[in-house]
Amino acid sequence: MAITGSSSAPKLGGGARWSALYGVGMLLVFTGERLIGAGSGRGIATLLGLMAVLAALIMRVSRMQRAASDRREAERTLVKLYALGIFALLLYFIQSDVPTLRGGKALEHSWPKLATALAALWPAIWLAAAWPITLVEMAYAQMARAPRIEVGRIKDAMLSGIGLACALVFAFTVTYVTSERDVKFDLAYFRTTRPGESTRAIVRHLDQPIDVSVFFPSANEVREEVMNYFNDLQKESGQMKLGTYDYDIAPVKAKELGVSGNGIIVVSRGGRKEQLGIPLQIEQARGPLRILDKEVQQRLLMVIKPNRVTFIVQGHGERNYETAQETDKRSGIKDLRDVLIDQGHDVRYLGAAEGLAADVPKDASLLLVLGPQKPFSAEETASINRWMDKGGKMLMALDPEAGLDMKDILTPFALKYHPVMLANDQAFARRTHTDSDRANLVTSQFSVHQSVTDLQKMGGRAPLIMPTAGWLEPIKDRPKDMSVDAPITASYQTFEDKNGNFQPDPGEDRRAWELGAAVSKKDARLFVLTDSDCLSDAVIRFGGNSLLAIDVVRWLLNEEVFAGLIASETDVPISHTRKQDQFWFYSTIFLAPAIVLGLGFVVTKRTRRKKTKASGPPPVVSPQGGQP
Amino acid sequence: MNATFLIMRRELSAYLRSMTGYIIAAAVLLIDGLLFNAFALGGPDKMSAEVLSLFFYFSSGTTIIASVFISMRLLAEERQTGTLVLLTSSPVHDWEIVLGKFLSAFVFLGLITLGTVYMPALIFVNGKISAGHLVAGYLGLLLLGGATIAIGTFGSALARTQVLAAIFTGCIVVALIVCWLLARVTERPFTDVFVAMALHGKHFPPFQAGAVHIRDIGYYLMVVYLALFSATRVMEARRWR
Repeated sequence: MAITGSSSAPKLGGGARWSALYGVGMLLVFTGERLIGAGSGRGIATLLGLMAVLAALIMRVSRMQRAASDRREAERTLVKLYALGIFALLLYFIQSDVPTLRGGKALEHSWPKLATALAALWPAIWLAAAWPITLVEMAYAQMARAPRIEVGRIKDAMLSGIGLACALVFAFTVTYVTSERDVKFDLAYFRTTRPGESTRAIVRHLDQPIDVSVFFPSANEVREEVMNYFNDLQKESGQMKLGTYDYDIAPVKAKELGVSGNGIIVVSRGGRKEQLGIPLQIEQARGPLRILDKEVQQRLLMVIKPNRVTFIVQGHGERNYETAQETDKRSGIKDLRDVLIDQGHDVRYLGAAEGLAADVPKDASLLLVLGPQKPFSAEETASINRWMDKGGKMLMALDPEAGLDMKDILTPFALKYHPVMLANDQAFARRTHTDSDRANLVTSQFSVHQSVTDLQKMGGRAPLIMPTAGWLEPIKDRPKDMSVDAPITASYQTFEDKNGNFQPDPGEDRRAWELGAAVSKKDARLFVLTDSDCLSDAVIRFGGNSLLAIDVVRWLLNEEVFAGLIASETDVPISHTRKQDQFWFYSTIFLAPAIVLGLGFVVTKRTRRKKTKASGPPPVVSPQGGQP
Repeated sequence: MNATFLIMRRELSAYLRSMTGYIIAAAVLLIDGLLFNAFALGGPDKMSAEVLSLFFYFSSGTTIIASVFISMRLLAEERQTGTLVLLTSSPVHDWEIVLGKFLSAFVFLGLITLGTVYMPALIFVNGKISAGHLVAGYLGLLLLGGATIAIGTFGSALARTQVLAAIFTGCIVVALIVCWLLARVTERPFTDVFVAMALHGKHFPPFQAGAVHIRDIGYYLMVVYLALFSATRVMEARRWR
């Protein structure tokens, strides 16, 4: 350490009080500028702070001039550091809004890049002054009463402080850059949903801007999950504008969107707004986050494609979404209705009482005929045919048990329905474990038609279950502007069970029967299924049946570009018995720690034995008291 | 760097040849096992991802506490027994001493942490989890543990006794954890600062849920860097204090 010689100048005591004054001044400036932020309070605090800082500097300069040469060196170091701190303050004021208080313009208006650079620079410079001042004062205090000051120690302390400040700046910079340029690797099996293919397709095909406003407090785990979802979705199209707000900070925006608190997502376009609420606590939000994609898709469709009215034809023994009726024990279609509502449909009944015999309502987007048991009246058939001629869209699901062939509606679309039950003795869905199960057809034979896009993608992973289906026959002689496809066929071992004994008797041919048909005729679209059970509550949750419903409805409404799976993270619960609980409990709680302790005991004993061997046997003392 | 590894090996063998190391490991496994059975797995049937997430959540607490206990002896013990002078007067840089001590504690904590793998593996029996989720969770635990041990190394460099080192470390760690809670009740600019500094609330939950963010890895590595750098400066401060 270099020790400088003392001079005849008076010896000064420690000057830590001036550094304390400097610190208090800085604190006052911070309070005025960052905590108070406006009004006379800001001015007073900032001015007092500046006066304190300048007073500390003046006192240091005065001490420096009066001090002996060794102490003068230390004082000079502190003066330089004070000046550096004041320079940082100057940079702060240059880039702050102080010029606007006198009617001027803030630097960020005329020199935005310079303002940003200064905003990042001043805290770093300030830190490079503050840390060394603290450490130099610590070193100085150790030598305050010493006859001579070791300048080397002061310099070491200063360099140490500068090093710490640089390390801190580096750490903050890296943390800031990594958080701004964050990359996420999602390795979880079951997680908060990510945007599904279908939702991505909807956003990708947006033709007008759509706003998504997310209201959450900034330090919130659910917000992170929701933002991850929407940030992914936003990449699909520049038409989707994503805004994040805190209800408490942005009450005007909240009022504009009709939001009453945090935890709300608003999807809006023009005057149409749809809200989605999610709990703020992650524990309560887990469930809603798992079906976030479905919920968001629903809101998007409601905003993008409002007023889609779907009519379910009634009055002929069709399936319905009300509670089971005494005369009809068949499964209802409540789940199908829920799927349609999720897709943004307004679902209503349509029968003679609602005017079906006169005409299909003008606001109808889609007509569903699901399992009629009685034939339609001539007026109703005519009404439906007129509607289809005008470009109507209809899904018709028939049952062989009803014996209806609906030829008045199907023949104009070059289709013939054979209400004869099909059965399969090799691949079928078991339910009652009797021969009748052979009528529960299972198929994964799908063509590349747009009405079965997702089913075709899923293949064998999402087979279609069709209990008691008939079959369709496309009529070869048809107009040129009509296209008829059979996107669903039965597996080739399926036979036509004419006598209903579920056995493949002679004359009951085996082949890949057509189970569904998609017909386009100008603007009109018709999809026919040979079994309505496949859309009922009893079956729709299994295999690919719900996918079929969504795909077909999208195709009928010319929305096949939205095809794709809806992400749903359905996890499996871990169910365990009391016996399993006991086994797991004892093995995890006692066995493993016991093994570790046993291992520790063996290792330490062996180490002790080795040490004893290395140091040799203990000396043996002879009976006479001397060494043997 | 050779000196770093020599110090690391010496320290690690000290952990593995003394019963204290095994007692800490057994205690961690016992507490993790209790929490896993009582809260993560116990109660009504839970989804497998939820069980795994809860396991990592509770393990993170145990890891933090274990890290404080493991790191408290690193430099404070040397100072307490008077061997620090011998170490610093040997031809070894201060940063090599600090890094070697940190690595030994980190490797020891890593061994303990990986010793808990059988618990999440039990979820495979009846549930569905991905290996990726496990890797992410354990990466998070190691980063969190590493950061806490680095803070502990700093605390140990500051203190004269092991108990004081544990208190210093505990205070710093608790302050950094509490940052997350403070962020919820404060306003800007404090909210942003507190969120950025939060040791657990902001940066660990993604690992817990199976997501690895570069920002979280960057944060933990910077905490390690800053704490070890500070510990080195404290060691070097003997020249001017």
